[in-house]
Amino acid sequence: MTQPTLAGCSLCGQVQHHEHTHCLRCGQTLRARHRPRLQYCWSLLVTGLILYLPANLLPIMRTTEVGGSSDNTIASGVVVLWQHGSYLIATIIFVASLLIPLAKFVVLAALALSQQQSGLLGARAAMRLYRLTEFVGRWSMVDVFVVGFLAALIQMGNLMSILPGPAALAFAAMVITTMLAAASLDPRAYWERGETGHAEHA
Amino acid sequence: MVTSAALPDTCLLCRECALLVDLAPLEEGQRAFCPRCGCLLSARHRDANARILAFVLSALLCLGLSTLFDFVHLSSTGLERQLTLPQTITELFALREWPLALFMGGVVIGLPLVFLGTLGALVLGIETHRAGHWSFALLRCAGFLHFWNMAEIFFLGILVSMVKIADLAQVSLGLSFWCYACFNLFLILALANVDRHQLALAIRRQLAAREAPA
Repeated sequence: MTQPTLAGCSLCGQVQHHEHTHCLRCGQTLRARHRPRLQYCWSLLVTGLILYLPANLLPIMRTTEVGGSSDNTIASGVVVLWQHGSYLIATIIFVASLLIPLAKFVVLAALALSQQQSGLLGARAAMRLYRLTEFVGRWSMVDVFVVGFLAALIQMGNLMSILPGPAALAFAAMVITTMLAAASLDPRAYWERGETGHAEHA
Repeated sequence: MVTSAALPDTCLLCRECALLVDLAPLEEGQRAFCPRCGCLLSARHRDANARILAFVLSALLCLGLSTLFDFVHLSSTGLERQLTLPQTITELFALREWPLALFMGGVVIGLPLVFLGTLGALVLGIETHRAGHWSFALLRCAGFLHFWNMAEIFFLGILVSMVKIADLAQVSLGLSFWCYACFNLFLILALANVDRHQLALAIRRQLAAREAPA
């Protein structure tokens, strides 16, 4: 049994001809499986990579204390936290703000390439990576919230105050673009079409 | 070739691998997985709609309460500072950090509020047998808002901030902080009972019953 002309609505589950752009029942946009969607993913990925540079090179936080003021990038903030013995927080910030975005760029590029040249990644491996990328991507935003919250909280004039740096917005924009890049990938492209089956109940 | 017209209503395409699956109606507490990619196709939770409504109302109440009291209290070398939850946003506006303030305001209060309202209205419509085509619009809207919901990440950000400044100042948590923690808990519990397929199925059934000739 084959279903080359069918498309499933991601909202209501209605199965219908894939030439429809919107679901006949609920009006949801049916995801198109064509190259422009992949180009959209690549363009977002490149935008994210460009934003990664100011996000990491520019200061994310400016701290003013009695002795003067200092600018902190994400990496220098991790080093300072580590030197103060806050190993857990330093590790969380390092993983969420430096490691995950970099890993996400590599994984998203591999997933996009795999959609262009089938066979680069196995369907199951691609699926696992896709699910992982979708889940962890948002958590990188934690550093932006830390900066925003500290800037609102610590306003004690010359004694101690914190201001957000330009990297905070660049970092937020980078996380958003990579989230959109992940969402623009179609995981169904990794699988052979035309098979049928019965759901496994548990 | 199979056409959509020839397929029974129980058929659906897996949203992750596009396998055409015959999904038999689920019993309460039962879950169905795609036999090919293992994706969770649907889960029918016990009293799902009643639970969603209860958790949504509790989350809304906690979110409302979290805006009324002190969120955190900071003291350092004789200076003291108190902050409410709305002030975490208004202070950023005062610093002329508008993009960050708008983003934080959206994520911390605005988006969760709209999301909970949408989810509540959707489930209430189904529970009172008033679901219509508008319910699909709400379901679509809820899916979009769920994608952008970052309330739990903001909460983690607060915890990280507390540890970060623990050496510099004395920080104590206010009543609003615990209300916001409860709001996050209820939001997670509400989401744990949401199943898009079951909600869509309920809307479809009510629409079919209403449109069927008497």
